[in-house]
Amino acid sequence: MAIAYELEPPPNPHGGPLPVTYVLTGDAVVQKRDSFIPRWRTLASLAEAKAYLAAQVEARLQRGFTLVGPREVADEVPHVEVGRDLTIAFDTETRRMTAHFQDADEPPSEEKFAALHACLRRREPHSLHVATEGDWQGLELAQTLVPSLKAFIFDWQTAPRQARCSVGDVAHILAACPSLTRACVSGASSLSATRHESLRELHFMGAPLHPSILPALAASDFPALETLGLSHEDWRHLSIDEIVQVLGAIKARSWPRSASTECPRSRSWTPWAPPRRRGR
Amino acid sequence: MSALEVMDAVGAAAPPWTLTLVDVNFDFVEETLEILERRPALRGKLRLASEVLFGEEVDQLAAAGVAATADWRSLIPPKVYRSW
Repeated sequence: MAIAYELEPPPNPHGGPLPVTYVLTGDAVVQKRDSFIPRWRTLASLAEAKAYLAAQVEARLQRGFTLVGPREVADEVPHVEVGRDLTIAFDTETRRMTAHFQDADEPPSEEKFAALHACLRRREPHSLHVATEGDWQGLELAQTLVPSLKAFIFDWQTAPRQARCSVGDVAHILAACPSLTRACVSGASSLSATRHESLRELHFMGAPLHPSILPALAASDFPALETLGLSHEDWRHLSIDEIVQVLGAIKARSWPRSASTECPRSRSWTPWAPPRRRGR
Repeated sequence: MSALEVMDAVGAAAPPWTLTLVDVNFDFVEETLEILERRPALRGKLRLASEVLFGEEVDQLAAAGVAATADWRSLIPPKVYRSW
């Protein structure tokens, strides 16, 4: 077994530091939750690992963090590196897998998708977060996925890059993951009319959204849907009537509890977006 | 298209769902109250996420059936999926 030390940052309405967890696993200390891929530090002995861990925890406490735990957790699994530009991490406790494609120049090869598929089949995660720093076009990620997934996230790109990033038809992703309850897809991924029995929460973020999204939402059937989030870089090209019509046409057993719309003046969800001065 | 226009159009359509508008700089309280007068179906079905509302404005909106919050980050990615 491993030991986890969770540290919660002091409350900060403007964002502030992220929570962090240190896990002592064998002679290694794994730092996670504050970075996309967990950071491993392997020490020469258990005693050194404990000393390193104590110093890290103490440093955070001095910065106002609150310690939760420690508590016993399952041993951590080292992340997998496929070539130089794909890192796959798996969190044993949350059963969350993260696939980070770092290559900014080339779309992923079949070999890399095959490696991701193998990891998915081996670990059967409940959640998958795919991130890319490159341009993805003409790709179909759906064939890589596995039915164990309950949450799917495709998000990492900067807003300018979103227009050049797609995981294909999101309807295919939903079809590949019948147990999916939550999905968040950024970029220019398309959507065709579909039906999904268990999807409760669905977010699309685009700069801009693919033109197929709104008509397909109107023609789709999501009997379990409770929350629909739409973030669009520039709403000026869409009519309000169209948006209202689409939201009204979504066939959900109980209507979405919330339809979130990010408006153009806020455009960015970056925590450093400065508030406008009030001229009162 | 502004948040007020969306609010007005959704209010006119009177859908059964709750509308959440995330606009970190939204401070059109008087205009919102005017829309609520015209579109009473919005009362109790509108949430506003803005960083620039004063406490008394939040109270004013609450009295009109609008839930206002400064914690817009928890409503949209990436924070919304951090625990998925």
